[in-house]
Amino acid sequence: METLELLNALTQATGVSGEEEHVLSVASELVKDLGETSISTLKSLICKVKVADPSKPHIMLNAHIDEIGMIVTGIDKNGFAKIARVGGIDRRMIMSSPVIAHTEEGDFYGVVGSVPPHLQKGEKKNPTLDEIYIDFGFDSKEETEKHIPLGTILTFEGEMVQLKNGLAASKAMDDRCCCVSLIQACRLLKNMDTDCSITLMLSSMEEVGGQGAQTAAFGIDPTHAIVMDVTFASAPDMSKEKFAPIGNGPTLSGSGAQDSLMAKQLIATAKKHNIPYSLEPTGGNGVSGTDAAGVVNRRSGIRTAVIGLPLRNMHTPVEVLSIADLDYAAKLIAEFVAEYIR
Amino acid sequence: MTTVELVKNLCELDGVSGAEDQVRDYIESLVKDHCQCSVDARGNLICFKKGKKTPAKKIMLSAHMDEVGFVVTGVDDDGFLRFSTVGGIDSRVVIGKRVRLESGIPAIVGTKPIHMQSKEEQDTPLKISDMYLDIGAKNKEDALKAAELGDHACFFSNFVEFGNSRIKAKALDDRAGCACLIQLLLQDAEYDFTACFTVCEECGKSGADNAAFSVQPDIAIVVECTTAADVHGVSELDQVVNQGQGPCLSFMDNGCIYDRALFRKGLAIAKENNIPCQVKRAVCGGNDSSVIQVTGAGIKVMAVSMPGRYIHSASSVLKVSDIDATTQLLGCLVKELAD
Repeated sequence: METLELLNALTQATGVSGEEEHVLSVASELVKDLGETSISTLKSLICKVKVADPSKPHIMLNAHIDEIGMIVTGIDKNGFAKIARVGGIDRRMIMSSPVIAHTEEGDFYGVVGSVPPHLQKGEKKNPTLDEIYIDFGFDSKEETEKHIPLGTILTFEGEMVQLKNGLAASKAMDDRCCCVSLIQACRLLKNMDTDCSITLMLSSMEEVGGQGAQTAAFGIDPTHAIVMDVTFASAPDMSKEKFAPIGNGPTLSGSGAQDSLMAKQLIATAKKHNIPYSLEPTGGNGVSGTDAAGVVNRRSGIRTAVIGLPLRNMHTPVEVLSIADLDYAAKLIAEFVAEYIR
Repeated sequence: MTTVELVKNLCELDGVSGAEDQVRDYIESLVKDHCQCSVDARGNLICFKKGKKTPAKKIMLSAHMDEVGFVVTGVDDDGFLRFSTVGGIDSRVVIGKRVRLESGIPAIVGTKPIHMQSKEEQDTPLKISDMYLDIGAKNKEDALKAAELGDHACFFSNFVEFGNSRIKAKALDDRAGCACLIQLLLQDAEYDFTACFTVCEECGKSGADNAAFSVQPDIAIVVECTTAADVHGVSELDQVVNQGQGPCLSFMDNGCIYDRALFRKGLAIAKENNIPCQVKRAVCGGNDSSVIQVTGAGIKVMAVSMPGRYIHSASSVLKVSDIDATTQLLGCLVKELAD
């Protein structure tokens, strides 16, 4: 399947942290030809792409499959629903956003409501979480409750739209785009000469703490890991000095808790194969803001590298990326594994 | 065509104030065999419907074709477009949304990720002047191939039926009003009337008074959408109008004081005909009535408005029964106000 098709299939699937079943079933189907698949206790997808002798290195390729969303916490007397957020929902852009409630009965459409303008006193503010409510178009508490039970998961409507120059916008690019890169890397590796074990692991619950990746990594027990996640891209309100552009390949860095040798080898691989990349030194206290934080210190430690994919408008239904970056990252990872992990 | 199909077709057309061509062409194609159509200098579509009888009082109905939207005002070196709003749009419903440029090209309104926002940035609404459209352009030159300065853009919004007989779309204000007038034009009429589909209600100089000047009616009925505040956290007294209770009639708004006798008569006619109808319970908003009222030697005006939630956003919401009740009431008004 082409990268764009894979990306469309995965971003449009539903999988808010803790309720990843739908996207897991879509992903399982997409990777079933790559190797034996299973779902871990905390619902991460594990696919054994290559199984080598246990004395050989074992690399785990990880991206998270969950997405941010909301959860219904109450219904008022007129049938409007109150919500809590699952992951970092941006309340600046939430007003009048279309949402979809996923229930056992089926999907229900809703709109994020707001206080009408003429009733707002004083200076306008972005709504607080307390002020946000969902209008499901029902006329009473009973009617809404019948269809939307408490605990129902909501996603933003965010179908994929293709922009100019191979760019695309969608919900859940974070981090399904990296899932796609890793699937494509595994496809390449399937036909490359290697001698190591390769496991693809698409983790649950990254957006709420990384519980999926850390437990799956323990179970898989690899020697090496590549954790791929989206990173902030430059934009008019995100300076070019600090943030990498989209379309110039993945971001690499060699700082923090990452394995410095793997980082150097990744850069060498990119240079050797003319794969574009941007450097993104993380610095700080060495704790990555990705699943790498929970992977690197599993068991007696896992040598871990982080690869970033630049994304604009992170945590919105219009996350923008360059499709070419996904292919660059896939090629980089495959070449790196074949040359350095073997 | 059902009401929902008609409203869907109308809402899916783009027609920012001053660029109503698509909407006008579509309406004209639907009604041209059922009435006499003309387009005036402003772009208003004026449709004279011949009835079985000529009324003592000439009645004009009007609904506006234009919608709120955006206009491209600049392009930066990296190919991001700067824009202004056309009509009143709350900046908070713009960020993170999709739009469609006049050229048909999709764009999104970008935003700094939540991770990078300060507390103050999270609380304070971003100004339109600080937002940008992302079309995926490589640079300024590339962007200018897809969008020129002055190009319009509209919200992009899927038309959806949801909940208990509700619809969600962009531009329901006032394509739903256009739909009511179209349905009346397609029916046989007891009395003559003129339906005007007007331009530029949302911005600057409305075209409605020019239409009224040509038509010279005794009575003008403006068919509109008005804000329904029957939502979470709003007390009953502040709700203004309620969905599911039919159209509302206004006694006064920020634009004008409506003809008292017409207002009362309208309520009585709705009651006699068992059509759900309510009174707009606040003095807020405004519509084409204010400019029609002072046209020529003066015209008696009346507003019949559908209760719309979240109007002027990509996700405005109406209840279908309110649209049907509005068409029904307008039919009765044309008949009963004629003599």
